[in-house]
Amino acid sequence: MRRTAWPLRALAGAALMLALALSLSSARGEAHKAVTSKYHYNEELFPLFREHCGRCHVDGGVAPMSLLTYDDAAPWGESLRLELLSEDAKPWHDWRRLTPRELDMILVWATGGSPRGDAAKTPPPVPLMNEWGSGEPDIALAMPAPFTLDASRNEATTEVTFPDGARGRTIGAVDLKPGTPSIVRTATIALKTADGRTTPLATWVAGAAQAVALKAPVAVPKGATIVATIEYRRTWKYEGQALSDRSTIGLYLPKASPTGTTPRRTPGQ
Amino acid sequence: MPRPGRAVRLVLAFAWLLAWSAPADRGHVHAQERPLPPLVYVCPMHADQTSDKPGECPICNMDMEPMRLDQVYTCPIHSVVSQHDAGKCPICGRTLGEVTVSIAWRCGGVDKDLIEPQRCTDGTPAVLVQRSLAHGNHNAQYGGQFFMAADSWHHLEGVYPSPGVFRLYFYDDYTKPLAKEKVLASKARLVLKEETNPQTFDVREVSVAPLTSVDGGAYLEASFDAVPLPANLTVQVVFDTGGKEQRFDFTFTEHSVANTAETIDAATRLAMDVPGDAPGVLKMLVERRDTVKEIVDRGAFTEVWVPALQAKDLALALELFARELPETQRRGVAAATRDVVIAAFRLDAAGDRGERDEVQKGADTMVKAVDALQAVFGAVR
Repeated sequence: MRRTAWPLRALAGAALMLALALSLSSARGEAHKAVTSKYHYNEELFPLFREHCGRCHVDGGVAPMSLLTYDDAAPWGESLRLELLSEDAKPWHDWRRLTPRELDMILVWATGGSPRGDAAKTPPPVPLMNEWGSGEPDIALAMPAPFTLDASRNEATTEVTFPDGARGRTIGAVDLKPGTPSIVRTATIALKTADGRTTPLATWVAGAAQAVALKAPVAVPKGATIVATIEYRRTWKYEGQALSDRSTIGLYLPKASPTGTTPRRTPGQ
Repeated sequence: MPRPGRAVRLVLAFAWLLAWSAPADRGHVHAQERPLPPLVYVCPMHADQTSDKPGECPICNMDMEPMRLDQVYTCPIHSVVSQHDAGKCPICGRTLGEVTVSIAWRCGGVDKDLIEPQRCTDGTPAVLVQRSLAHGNHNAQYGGQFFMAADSWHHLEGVYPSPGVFRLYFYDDYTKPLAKEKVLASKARLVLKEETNPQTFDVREVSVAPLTSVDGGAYLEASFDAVPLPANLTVQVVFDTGGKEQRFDFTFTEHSVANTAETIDAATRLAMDVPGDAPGVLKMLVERRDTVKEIVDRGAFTEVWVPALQAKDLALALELFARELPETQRRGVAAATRDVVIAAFRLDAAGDRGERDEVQKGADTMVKAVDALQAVFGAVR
């Protein structure tokens, strides 16, 4: 797997973990990681990655690499270790969702040679999930026109005004379904009233498993529209490619709000 | 204190587990009676791709090739000496150091390694060939403290042999002395005293001694007014390859004496019997916490990995007893256990690199987390 833009520290750390070098011939003599992990990808790591990382770290997902095949995941073991031990982990990585034992499993696997495990237990391919996490919304508002992240830019932010469809309704939860999941990072969804005032409703983040429940139902008055500030970012996998997106906002009425949704990054939180 | 590198410790622990899972004699055995070390499969083109099972390299799909790693004791001066038991060099009497090597067998005239002993086509037994490994030897060669640089290639050893004298030796990843021209191309200074501005936290060097080359680059040396023991000495280095200045914190509780420190059996030091009850596990965990504190206070950073990794395993074992606790306490236990895990791996890495601040932070985190676990499980008891 191609790896670019690794930070120097990651490279140094990787070299550290490639701890035992070979000298079987003059052509070898490079460092390598000895297999010491009692945890294996096929048996223990894959289910863990699928559960916690699979919405983004999947082929076609918003993350720069998949963790859902051994060949994709193994080269990133050292990078994972550094990220897990970093004090300033990336904001979209909430490691506290991992149990201590899961955290230990990843660290032991990453530092212990990242073994594959029993080939007979190789997991089946996992397709990208791009469905509504809380079921079909009551109101679906598609972007009026696609947004194109042209080949010259790696990131962009755009303001989108969605078509009418929610006026006079009361909203209990909000979701977004990316048109092109590999580039849609976040979306701040808001209500814009006729006088131009904007009230944030929720922030959607790639990888969210469910619709974002509002702290309290919000009525959409006459003349108001749903707007969103959508952040796009391209990973190195798509360098040089122009990518278009036409995402859809999903609105759930309070009575139909999915049970079990938890308030997440809603205004005031 | 000489000890094997972190990854070497891991592979030794792995080998140890394999050895102990087999119904073999656990006492001392002679070389010819020892079971063969386990096979490790390595890509011939991408040496960082390894597996404990045969297969293809995930990068280039070439077949992984088998090899065996072994742990031996060898003399720092007479590399011909190689044995499986610790001891003294039969030639010069120096204490033998523990190293990891690859082993293979060869037949005369055949340019190919064999992975197990066998007879050659002419009926003679194949000859054992033993080769050095990068990071297979992290033993201090002059009785000092041995650290690895961030690039994982440069290594250095600080030696405080007598009051007012500090020596710095440079090595490569095979613990071979760096070429003199590379030593001469490196820039280093010894920081004897620093002051930290309490408002800005900026650190100012108050007392510095230059490190100058000796014997045309055999090593660097600084002379200064004697620093009492325990001596905290910091080295700032820019290696011959350039890049950022790197810091190495040495703490000497006694003056360095070449080749007298005992070697450490890594797997044995990590092994422990974990009790089957929460109070027993907690007691061991608290002991490891105190050991971490004591080691860090003493400045022996390269030793901290043992109690740190043991504490991690004990905390994970203790968490199993949290199932009967109320939800709020369970969450607190999980958070504290997570902190112990993170702190252990940070201590392991920072200790290897001699990063005083990182080691201290890791220790502080571990102490706080274990205190939290003690508050919960001590009350339960």
